[in-house]
Amino acid sequence: MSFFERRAVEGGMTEEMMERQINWASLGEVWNRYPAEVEAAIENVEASRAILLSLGQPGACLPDEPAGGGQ
Amino acid sequence: VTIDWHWASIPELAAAFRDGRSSPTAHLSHLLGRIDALEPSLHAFVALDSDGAAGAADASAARFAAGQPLGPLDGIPIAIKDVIDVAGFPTTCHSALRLDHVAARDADVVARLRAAGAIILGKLSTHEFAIGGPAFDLPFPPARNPWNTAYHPGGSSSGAGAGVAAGFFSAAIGTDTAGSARNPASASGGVGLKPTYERLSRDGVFPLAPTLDHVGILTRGVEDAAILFDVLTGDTHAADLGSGASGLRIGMVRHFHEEDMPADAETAAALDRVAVSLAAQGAEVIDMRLPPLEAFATVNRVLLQSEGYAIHGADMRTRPERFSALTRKALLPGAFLSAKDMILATWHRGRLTEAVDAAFADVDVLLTASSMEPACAIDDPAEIARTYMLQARTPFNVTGHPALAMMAGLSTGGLPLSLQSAPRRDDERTLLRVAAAWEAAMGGPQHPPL
Repeated sequence: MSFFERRAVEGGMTEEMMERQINWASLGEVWNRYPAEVEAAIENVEASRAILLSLGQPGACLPDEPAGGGQ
Repeated sequence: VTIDWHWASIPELAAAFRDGRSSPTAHLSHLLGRIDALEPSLHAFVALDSDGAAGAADASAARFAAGQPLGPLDGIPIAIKDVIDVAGFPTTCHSALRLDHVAARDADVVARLRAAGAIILGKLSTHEFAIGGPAFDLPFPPARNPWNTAYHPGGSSSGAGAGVAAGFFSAAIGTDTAGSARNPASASGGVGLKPTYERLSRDGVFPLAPTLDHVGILTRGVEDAAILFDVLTGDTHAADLGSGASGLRIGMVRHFHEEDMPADAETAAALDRVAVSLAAQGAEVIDMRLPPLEAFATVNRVLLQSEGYAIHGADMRTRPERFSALTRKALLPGAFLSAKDMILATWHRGRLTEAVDAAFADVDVLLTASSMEPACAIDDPAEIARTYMLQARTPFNVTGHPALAMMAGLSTGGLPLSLQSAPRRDDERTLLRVAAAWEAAMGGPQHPPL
């Protein structure tokens, strides 16, 4: 089972990760020669992304419904 | 009285050069002998410029003989991390990818040191491209810790920290993107000063992550660091070092090393001793809370990986085998970070910077851990990977505030323990003042048994 397939089976393949496959292909020699390092890099990014999101996002404190009247 | 000239401070050397007890030529000869004896076990240098240094020492000696030294750095040997250009030498960045990149001119900081009469002694070991870790798959071996050569000297300015601590030269110029000028001072002793962002020019410095990169100063003592900072900036901080800590308000950020990233017992105890000592000198020490250390570390990591991959991505795609495995591991995540990730990290960076700025409404300087543990064995990749993250230096790369790391004591294993202090931006004067106060309480700079 490939890394892509395994992640999909495990439910960890997000839409954003699928979009990033184009970058995986463009990695060329790194992906061909060091696939385990690439997988570790992806997991590193996922961990960082989860922490960043847990810290909050711009607009997260705004009310769900627009107040109206503004631009 | 026998003087160990290799431990002499910059003012002590300048005085000896003036009154004839030593000369720049004699001092250089002494240091070259010491380097010849100890360098095979320390690997601080990538390139040693004995001939160029000898010529500069002769010129300096002539100025002293004529009673016309150029200033406090005239005749003082200083070495340069090999990511910084020194004319006529390759800026290899400790990498097989750049062995032939000979610098046509000096970096701005190097040119300023030469203009002040300093002797540029050579180029120093670093982690490849100032990232990764101590690697054994590069063209040059990694530097080792002078307190125990089986241990990591800290990095990425590893040759700078090892060489300063070993008494090879009075000072070194390093860089600091996630703590790389402060980590060697934490692991090998001495002082690592990261001034305010862009306070020292990055002209002629190979970038790692430009919005986080700082040029840093490594010395054995605080006064020497202040002298270099003054020469490089035109300021006069060295004149204020004797003021002590009395009247300063110090905010101790305990949650960094007690909750967020627990330090070992010896490091925690050493930080407590520092706080007690500064309070005994008349400082007001209070506990201070900042955002969690993980927030700073994550923002630093995402920005560093994004910016670093922008620089190294082409080489990584076409010839990845030319990098150390540790460098690939450190840089590759940048290939998968999105613009959204970087924007979110940048947004958090603003919030974190505001939080640190706000803390200075109540205190003059922050006191934190630097490394949470003493150095680990250099040939233990798992320990290197584990301990590299256990540090509190990234907050001040994210925010751009000045910060200084120095020895806080010695572990029972005979390795340096460390502290960090950080003041308001552009207030290096207070930073150096509080560091000098602790250094005096410690009995002055401490040296390894070499």
